[in-house]
Amino acid sequence: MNIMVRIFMVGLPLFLLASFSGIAQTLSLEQLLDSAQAYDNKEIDVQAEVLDKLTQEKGYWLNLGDKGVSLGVWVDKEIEISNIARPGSYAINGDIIRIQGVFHSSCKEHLGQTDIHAYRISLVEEGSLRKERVLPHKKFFAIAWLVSFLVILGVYSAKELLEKSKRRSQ
Amino acid sequence: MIFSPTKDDLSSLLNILGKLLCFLGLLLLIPAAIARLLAELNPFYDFITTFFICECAGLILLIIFPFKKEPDYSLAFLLVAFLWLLIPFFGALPLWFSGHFAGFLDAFFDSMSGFATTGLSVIQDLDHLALSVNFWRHFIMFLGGQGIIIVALSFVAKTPAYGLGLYVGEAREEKILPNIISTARFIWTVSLLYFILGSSVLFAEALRAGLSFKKALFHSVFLFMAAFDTGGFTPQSMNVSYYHSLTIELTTVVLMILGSFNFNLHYFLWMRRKKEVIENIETRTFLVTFSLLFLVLNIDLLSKMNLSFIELFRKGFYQVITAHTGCGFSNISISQLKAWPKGALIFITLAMGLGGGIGSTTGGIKLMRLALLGKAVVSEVKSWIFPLRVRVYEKYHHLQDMILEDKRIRLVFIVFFFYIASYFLGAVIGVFCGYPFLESLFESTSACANVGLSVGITSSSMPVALKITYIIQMWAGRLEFVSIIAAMGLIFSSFKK
Repeated sequence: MNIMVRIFMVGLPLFLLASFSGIAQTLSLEQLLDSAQAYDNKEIDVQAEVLDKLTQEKGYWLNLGDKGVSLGVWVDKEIEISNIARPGSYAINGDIIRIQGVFHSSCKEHLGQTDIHAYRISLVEEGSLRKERVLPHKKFFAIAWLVSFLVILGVYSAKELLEKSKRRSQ
Repeated sequence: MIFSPTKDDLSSLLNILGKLLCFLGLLLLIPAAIARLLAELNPFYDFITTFFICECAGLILLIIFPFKKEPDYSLAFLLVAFLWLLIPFFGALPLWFSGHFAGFLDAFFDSMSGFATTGLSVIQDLDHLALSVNFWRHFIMFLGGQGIIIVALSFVAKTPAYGLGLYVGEAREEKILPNIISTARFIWTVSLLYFILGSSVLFAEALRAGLSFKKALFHSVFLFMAAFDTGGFTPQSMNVSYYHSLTIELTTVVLMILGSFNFNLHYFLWMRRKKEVIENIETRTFLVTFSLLFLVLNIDLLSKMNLSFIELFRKGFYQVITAHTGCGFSNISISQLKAWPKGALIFITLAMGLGGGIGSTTGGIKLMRLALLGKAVVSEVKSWIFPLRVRVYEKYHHLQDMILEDKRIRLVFIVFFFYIASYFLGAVIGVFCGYPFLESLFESTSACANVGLSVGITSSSMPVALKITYIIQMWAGRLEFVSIIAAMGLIFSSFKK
């Protein structure tokens, strides 16, 4: 049988299965929040960067961010997330994770917050340290302005001294 | 006779400007030290460079323009109006250098928003911003809220009279203590006390919520500065929802309310004279307007959305209080706010437009003006009803029993008119830029009343014309128009001469 026909015969049932079984495609946070009503109380699949991991008594809050849009994900203690250890910040590109869970536009359990209750979390890409190198032009400008400052300070001090001596002589 | 400034006046004014720039430069050493401590090297160089730029500009002004004589009192308005453009300009430099803004205009937008305690932001990738730069964003809010002029008063003002001019020019109508310097010191003492109390509570709660020690420490300071000075910047893009903590939200509510109170009332609280706080016309007006707005908002939300009581309280209460006090924090996302019924958005816009107490850090029309306008209407109606020979007086209580005078009403009405006109003008410009009217009115009111709530119009991708409009609105709204009109009058009279 032609290879293309074989791919078609295997691929089509898989595609149809995925379409009708409720397995959602991976969403961005922006897509999710823009259609919050449509996804309310439904199973969703999102991928984003971890911004913080807040440990609480009964579980964790993972704050996720993606292109300026952010959302909290509630994770029960039973779910293993010890491998998610690098939240994003100035110095770190945070872990990229994939969350499968239920989206609540107004969560009854968490006093009306918008959140996701996760049932599966997987690490897509480990976070990394952002190497900070001082940009050469920043050093140059700092030194140039320092020199200008010292010169102007010198002129100002000389002027002040001159005026003081003038006042004294008067 | 129209006053026109002399050369000596201008020389002295520019000399004062120079001193203030040097002062601003010194303040930049604080975030520079934080950056060095946290090993944030690029921001360290940015702050140091800006420090040198400010000092150079300040010293040049001091060298060229000597202090000749105490400038005329009316020139204080010109100085204040100009200063409130110049200081955000220099304050924007480290923001611009950080690379988190699309250009200098965007950095200037955030700087003006910070100094004017608005809280609207066009920053990009806030969640990866250096802590030292985030500190600067919140610190400028604190400086602006406390009154950057007040900060500098002690060493700039040579005589109390001129200090008062600057103080009034910065939209603070009332002194608390007879001497303006004592007033400035009192404001700072009270603020420092609230700072220690407020940030301690926020720090403890942030730790309990699961934040790391360093983050909890910085965020508690940031949240305090933004809440007490009714600013509204937050260190993360998730706003106050980042902490998933009702206690933090309630603490910010307390701080917002305290920040929106007239500083005179803090003085009475300080002196344990609670009666004044209860009897004061502003406190009463706040209770009435807040209750009414909260009630109608809840009715609207209940009738159109399926919300439980606790959700209604958490979301409705927080949004009304943050709008009314001019803070601009939010515990719901922009898309959620946009999904609220139109009526709810109108009530939030109304709450933003009204503002808090006179002599506080809030913007907007202000409670006192609203109350006096109401009294004026009642007085007018009474004069129609009563016989001609009866003279009607309206009394109100603000620190003492006072009689409503026509002169006061005129000034109140002028400021009221300017605010309303500005809210609508901004909305019209928003419509011309392609946004729906209600959303444009919401955003325009938020900018002009220095609130900071947004329905998503404010972003780095919005049209330049709208960015400039909001910058002007934030500037004019913070100075309550009076300084700007007076300054324009002075400039006009100089040219005429």
